[in-house]
Amino acid sequence: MYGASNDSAPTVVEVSDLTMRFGRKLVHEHLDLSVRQGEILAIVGGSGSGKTTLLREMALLQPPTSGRVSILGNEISGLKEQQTLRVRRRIGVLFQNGALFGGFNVLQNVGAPLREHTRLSDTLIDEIACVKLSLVGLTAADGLLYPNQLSGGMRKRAALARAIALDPELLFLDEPTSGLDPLSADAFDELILDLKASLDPTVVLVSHDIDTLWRVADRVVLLGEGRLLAEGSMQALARSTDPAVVRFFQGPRGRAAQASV
Amino acid sequence: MTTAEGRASFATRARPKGSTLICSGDWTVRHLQLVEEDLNGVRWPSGPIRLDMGGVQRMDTGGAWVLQRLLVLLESSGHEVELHALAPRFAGLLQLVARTQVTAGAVPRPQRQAMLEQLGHRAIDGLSQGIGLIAFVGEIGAAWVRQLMHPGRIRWAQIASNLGEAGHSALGIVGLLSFLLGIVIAYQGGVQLRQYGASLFVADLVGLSMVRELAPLITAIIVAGRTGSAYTAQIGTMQVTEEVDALRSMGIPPMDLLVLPKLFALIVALPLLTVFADIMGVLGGMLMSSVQLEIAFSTYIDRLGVAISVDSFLVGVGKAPVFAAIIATIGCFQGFQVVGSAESVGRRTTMSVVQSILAVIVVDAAFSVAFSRLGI
Repeated sequence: MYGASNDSAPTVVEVSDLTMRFGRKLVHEHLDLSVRQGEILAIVGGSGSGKTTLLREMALLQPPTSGRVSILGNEISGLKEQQTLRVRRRIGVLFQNGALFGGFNVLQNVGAPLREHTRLSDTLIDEIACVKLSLVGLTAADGLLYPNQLSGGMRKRAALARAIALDPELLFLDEPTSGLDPLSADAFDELILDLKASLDPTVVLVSHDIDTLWRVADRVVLLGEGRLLAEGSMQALARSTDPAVVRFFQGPRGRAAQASV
Repeated sequence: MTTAEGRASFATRARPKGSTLICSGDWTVRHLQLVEEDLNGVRWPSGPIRLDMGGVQRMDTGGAWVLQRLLVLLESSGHEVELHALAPRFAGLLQLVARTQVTAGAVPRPQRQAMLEQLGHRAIDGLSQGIGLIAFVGEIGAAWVRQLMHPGRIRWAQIASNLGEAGHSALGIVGLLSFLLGIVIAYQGGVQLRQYGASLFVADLVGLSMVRELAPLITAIIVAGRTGSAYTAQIGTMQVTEEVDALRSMGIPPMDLLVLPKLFALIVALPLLTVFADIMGVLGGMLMSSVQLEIAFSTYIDRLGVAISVDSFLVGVGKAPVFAAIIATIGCFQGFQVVGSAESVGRRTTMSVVQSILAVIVVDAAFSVAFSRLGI
């Protein structure tokens, strides 16, 4: 899968000179990053390196302290409420813990964006929700379960089904395989690739699961020390001699993951 | 059928052999509602049907599903269907949707319970809640005894911080409300009493009603809304985030850390707040009497001394610890009843406030009956 990104593809997300501070704590400074259409970009870095914050800034969930973010051809800072809403509808986000609505069952959770943004009949919405459930490997019967009745893997799948409810052009995945056992994590990697192949969204994911990076990511950016330390395909990063990159990817886990590819 | 910009649409046209359905526009979820409505109304002619998809500009899984559903419907009703000019990327989507093997109308529905069954479930729920509450009171008692035997385990710091939260920070709102209540009673009562030339008795009216009934009641109601709800929300959220389980696993009984300090603190705080409410209410009455009935402060205070016996004062303040125990017990109990989600925290918090206010008023009524029998 690696190296499949096409340099000539149009840019879907453009981040330039991005700075983010929480109070006096600097998360990152003068960050530049662009995501090209159709690629799977992985953001990696140690804990506290601001991966999730960067994802949240790109997903319109957190305004940056300064800098520009442009999504799907829209410069975010200049957007009015209504336009932001329109951009949001073209984005899907999978939150780390699923963030499924506890008062709704799975089917209602997946149908929620459709119910909100379309005027389809309830029957059709439920049917489309069932199709999405099936796409993420859940059965229609699972749709009747409530989030607190789901296992970790099922919760992630249900949350992914909700994230793709409106067939987003851009999909953000925050730690898609965290908290899953190795088998479920493998299956979830496959699922991401499947969805990529069938619905063809651009995917930006945050992960520190090195197996996921090898299997799924076309391109990887490494964050640390408040800036972008390195970027490239996994193979390129694995060959890198940059000490920061070596430290991150050449630990025992990193080598094991590489060996298994 | 009119083709609006971007709207998904279709039109039927008869052919020598069978008919053609010409589809066009955006077959995406945002533009599908017309297609959905119209498709329901179509009378399909017999014979082969050709679906001309050449005019479809965009399609998402929703559109592909509608198309798939249509194909299945036509084929199952014996039509020969031919898909014409479907763009390859849309064909891929159609295959994807077909592979999911979802069938129209096969959406699972939650089983609806019959009325009688619902009634039964509610009765059992109510009963088990009642039993649970009694068991909870028993657990509190046991934990209390355990702590009295090992006084070193009493968490003074927790009690102190809860005292501050439930007592000190409530002074403002309790004071203001009882002051206003005193004004209202003095005003309403004064108007009536003046007609009989008995203006001075306004001090009896305000003093007795505040001290015996209204101050304990209004204080308990404010505290139930303010502190009881906070107890439920705090314990409930800790329940959701597994903090309660974490305490258990560390060998710290949640009762000791979460319930007893709250209970002790409230049992101390509520009588004190009630005394404060007594004072503020009487002051409110005094202000109103002087403004409206021209009763001097000193006369009012002299009259109060005659009107309010020590018994009356103790009856009022004595109810407060009981109310406090009720509020803290129900608040904590409902907190532990939370399961799973944020919604459950909200529901239990509501139940906690409603139940504690209800219980406080019922117990207050019981007190009134008991006191009148005893002649206090």
